[in-house]
Amino acid sequence: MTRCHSPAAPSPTLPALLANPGSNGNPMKKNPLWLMPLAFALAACEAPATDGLSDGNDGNSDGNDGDGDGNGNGGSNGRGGGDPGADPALAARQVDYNEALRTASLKLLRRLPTLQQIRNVQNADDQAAAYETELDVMLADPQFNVRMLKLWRDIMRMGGGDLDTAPAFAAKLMSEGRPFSELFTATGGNCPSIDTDAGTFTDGDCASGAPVQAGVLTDPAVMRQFYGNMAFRRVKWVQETFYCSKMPAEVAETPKQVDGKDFTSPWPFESISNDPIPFRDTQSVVCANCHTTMNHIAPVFGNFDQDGMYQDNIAVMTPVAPEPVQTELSHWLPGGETLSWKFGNPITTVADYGQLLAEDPLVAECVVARMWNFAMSKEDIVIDLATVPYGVIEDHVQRYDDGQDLKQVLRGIMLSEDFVSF
Amino acid sequence: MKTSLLKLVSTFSLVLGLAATGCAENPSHLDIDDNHDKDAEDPVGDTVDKQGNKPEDSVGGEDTTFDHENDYRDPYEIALQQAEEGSPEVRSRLHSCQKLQITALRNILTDFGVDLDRESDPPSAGQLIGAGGTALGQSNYPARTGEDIVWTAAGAAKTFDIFVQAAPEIIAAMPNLAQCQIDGVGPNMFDESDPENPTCNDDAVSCLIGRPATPDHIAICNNLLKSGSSLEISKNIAVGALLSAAHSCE
Repeated sequence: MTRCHSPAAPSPTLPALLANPGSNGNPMKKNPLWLMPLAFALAACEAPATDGLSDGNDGNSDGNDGDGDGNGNGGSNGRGGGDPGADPALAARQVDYNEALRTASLKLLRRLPTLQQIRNVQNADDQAAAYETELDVMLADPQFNVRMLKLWRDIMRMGGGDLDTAPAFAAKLMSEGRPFSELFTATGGNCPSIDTDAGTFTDGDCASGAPVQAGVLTDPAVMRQFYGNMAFRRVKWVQETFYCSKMPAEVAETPKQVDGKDFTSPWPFESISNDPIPFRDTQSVVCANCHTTMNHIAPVFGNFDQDGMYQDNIAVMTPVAPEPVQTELSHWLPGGETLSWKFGNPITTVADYGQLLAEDPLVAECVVARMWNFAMSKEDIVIDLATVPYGVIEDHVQRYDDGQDLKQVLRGIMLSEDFVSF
Repeated sequence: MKTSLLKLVSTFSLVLGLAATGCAENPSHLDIDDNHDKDAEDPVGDTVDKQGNKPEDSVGGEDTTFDHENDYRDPYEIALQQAEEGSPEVRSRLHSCQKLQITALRNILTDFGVDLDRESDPPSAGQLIGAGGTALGQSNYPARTGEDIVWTAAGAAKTFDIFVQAAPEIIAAMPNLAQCQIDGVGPNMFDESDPENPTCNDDAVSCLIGRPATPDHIAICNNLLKSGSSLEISKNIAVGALLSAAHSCE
């Protein structure tokens, strides 16, 4: 998958590239694209160049002169050390409640604030209070629910048609201020639908046929969307979506040497099968670094078929030549091994797995980090490695721990000094 | 910074390149993709039609039966980008620039009085959105991909095309837009009391950009009113430019 990416903050060199009447030195106030439309307009629709364009071309010759400015400071300060508040890029920010209003409105409702809202904040004696009032209006708007549906569609990488139940459930939990861990533990009402015009939810139970329900973990739409060999894609989805990191999920304090290579998992190397799939292969990479974790989880998803429906038998395939065969438990694990979420956390059913996810502080940190990245317009925390240091979100994680109300967490983020500073 | 610069210069160059088609009669660069229009299956209108799962999607070839998805970015590319952006603490605490979500773009235009169902030649704003989903970074959930978060050169160019095409409708509708009214009274986009020296209205500009207009905003808008070969063209350029710049984080 190929994507193009913008830098987190516009380059400070660009005001020199383009005429920039509004620059004040703040990285978020640079105007690199201001004259792009002008250039477009004049080049495309008009024959003669005029004053505006000729001004805009002045700075091209020194386009690289800003390398040491702004973002470079972080590198020179070292990573994780010192007081990030002392960083010039952070210190250069200014609180701007109108900009915060606009940003929040686009994020929460996907609309611009009205002129009335803009003036309400601009002309308020207490702009912070006026912004907070407007923020609460937005959070109470039914279209906030629809926006959260879209956010969770994008996070979960599924949606539309009959693939909306899991994103809708996440949005519903947020909308109603319910403990977000119900996403993994709910035994009913875990497949709601949403009226995207009205922004209202309709309760619904997942009809996968699973003997126990566990929130989105038994949602047939999830199981269908992430169907794959030996149910590994489903395991990977949980790991990346709710732990915010790629496999391997477990790393031992000290790696062991296997065939001269580092085996980094805390599991015994022989705890996974080697036939018909050579999970203990070390020729190119040490497969077991990831598969010791994955093979102990995947069987809980193994009975969901490619339509996401629970079957009495294992319903995923093992990719062997010349034709895939139906997976057997021995394809994942040798005799005597039991299912487990991470070393030392045995599970029997998908409900056990959901309960462990609900209690795991790493999951809490992940969902809060996702809210942070949403608010701050960051890229994907897994694909793009837009990780958030714990210290940045510590207060919000603590708020999450107090009732797991993710909507209130998002509100807190949007009231934070970082969010209202530009 | 060099990477950032190159990306933005590329964006700039692409916009210039597409500019030639932006006002042309035959927009040959358009993607023909109607799958993300709003319909019963996709009420939000920002995803392509769902495809079914196929066993072969998850089965390897004869020599490599163990397919592994590789939908991550090159970590070295990421490291290079992040090194430019500063320490993780600093990077995390600074706002980045998010692409306008497709629904947000639709909502903005609708709130500004644009009829997204209108068809015209050259294509209307609504038609450009309808055909430009790929450039605009639409989600592709069947491929397990969400909507793009950040701008691409193609997306920025397409968005500007859309705003320019929408400008005449916005200008005409401005006085009657609930979005832009204070106590039930809306502004005209321009003050033409002096026909020789038309100016941009502060309230109208503020409404367009979603934040209080500064003297710089007004000055730029006023300058744009003098830039075209005719006042009508200049007005459209001014509105398109303001919208495009303001909503690409500028």
